Amino acid sequence: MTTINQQCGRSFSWERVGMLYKFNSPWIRKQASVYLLFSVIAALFLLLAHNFSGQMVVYGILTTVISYMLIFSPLIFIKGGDSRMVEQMVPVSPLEKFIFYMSYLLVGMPLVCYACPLIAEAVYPYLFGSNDEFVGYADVACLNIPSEFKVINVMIPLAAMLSCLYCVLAVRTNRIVKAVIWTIGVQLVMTVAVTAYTVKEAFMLGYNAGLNGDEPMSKDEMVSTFLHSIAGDSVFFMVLVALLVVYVVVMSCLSYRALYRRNL
Amino acid sequence: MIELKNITFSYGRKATPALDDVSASIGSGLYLLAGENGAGKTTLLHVMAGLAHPSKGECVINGVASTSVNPEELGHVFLLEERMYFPGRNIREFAALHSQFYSSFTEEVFEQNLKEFGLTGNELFSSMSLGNLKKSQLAYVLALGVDVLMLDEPTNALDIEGRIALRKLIATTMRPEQTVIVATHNVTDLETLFDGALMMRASRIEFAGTEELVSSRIAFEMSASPDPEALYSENQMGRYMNLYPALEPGETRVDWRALYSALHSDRSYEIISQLRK
Repeated sequence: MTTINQQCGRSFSWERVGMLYKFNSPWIRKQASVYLLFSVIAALFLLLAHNFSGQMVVYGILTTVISYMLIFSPLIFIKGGDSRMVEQMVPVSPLEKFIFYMSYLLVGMPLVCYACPLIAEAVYPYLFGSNDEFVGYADVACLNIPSEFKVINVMIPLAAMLSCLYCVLAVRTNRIVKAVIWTIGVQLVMTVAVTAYTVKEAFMLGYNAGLNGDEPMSKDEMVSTFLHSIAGDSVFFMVLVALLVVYVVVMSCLSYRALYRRNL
Repeated sequence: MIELKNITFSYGRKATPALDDVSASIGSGLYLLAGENGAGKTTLLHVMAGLAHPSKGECVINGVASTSVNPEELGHVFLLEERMYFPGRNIREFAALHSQFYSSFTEEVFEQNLKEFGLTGNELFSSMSLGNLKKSQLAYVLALGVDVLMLDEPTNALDIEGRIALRKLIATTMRPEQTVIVATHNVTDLETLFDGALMMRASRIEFAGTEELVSSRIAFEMSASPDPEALYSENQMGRYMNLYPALEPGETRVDWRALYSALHSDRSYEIISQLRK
């Protein structure tokens, strides 16, 4: 019998990537089902509870939970035990394994998590009219906020998720605990850095406005002015985005190296 | 053919080497890997499986370095550790997911092996005893049919029937060109099947060779009392196994346990000299 390994040998094979999906299918199926269930609940809640006063708060909580589930999604590859030895011996090239992990985590999981809430947000105005208090995913993407913020909003969870993946692939003991601590740590450091800067800038803006005796602004004006004033600080954002990009690249390279070296 | 070329490996830069300048050639057949606790047996298996990278030297399997990540070569080697976690609910599910990567896997052999161990394959891993878990894993890996199969302490936790079944399965499922390396302290379980041995001591290989080589250099004879003229004597259940220089090649069957004890005794120098003649 000629197998895929004899046919493809050293060359890259999508078929082997597919075989990895099959090999991981029981765990992937479970995770995708649970995540999909949560995202369907969030979407249904948005659509069915439109008369409920706390609708947006609960919807926000549900989608935040989904975001964290997404960040910690690499934990599924721990599979309830130390399966690293079996997985490291699986005859698949490191690049094929890397593509499997990346396609699942960066394409498959976001689709499962966000498809339903996005569809719900898209149909919401047609069913119930616009809701001024509601700022969903789609609205965030379209809001008049500087694109630097949007990049950072995507990069921070991505960096956290890749940190989690690296821990799952490379750490030898207590993988779950270390992955969770490291992931939360990374997210915390980045969030604290952005928050500290934002608070400082808000304070300075208000302080300067007070000194200049400017006319009081409306809430919306204030937010817009503030966001654009800090977006104008290109050095800060360049440094932050550069750091995040470097971190994401380093984590990806380290994950690939862990797959390549196969060291126990 | 496995070639170990001056392999040195340490767990950490300042640590004492777990393998120190290890060299040997291993052909096809069933090989015993013996050594005291901490001698480096498991580390050597990891190096051969490409799961540990030596700081010096290399391990070459059929002309390719064991550290190769080429899927074709990876598919020829498998290591079953003493306590290894197989993901899945039961061995049948694991086999369905994992065997797709191994062209040499045979479903019929797997079924036969399960039957020999008295298992259906549907027993849940979570509710199996350690012995039965080991049996199910052995049933699977023996059906993989890989060129190089390494088993670390395969008989640990097995009951008497399990050991008998394992012995039978190794004898019946092994292909002539296959290399099976068994790291074990229970030499007697598979004793008459071994075609050769690697004997380790303190991170080094003290002896590596085939049964033919050993029986051409050393004769093993049982007697009622220890022979002072023998290279080495040991008490085995009230009788004495004596080791002598062989007069004719293959005149007696190799007693691997006695050879191992001899190599770890104060007569090791004489035994090694005799083996190297």
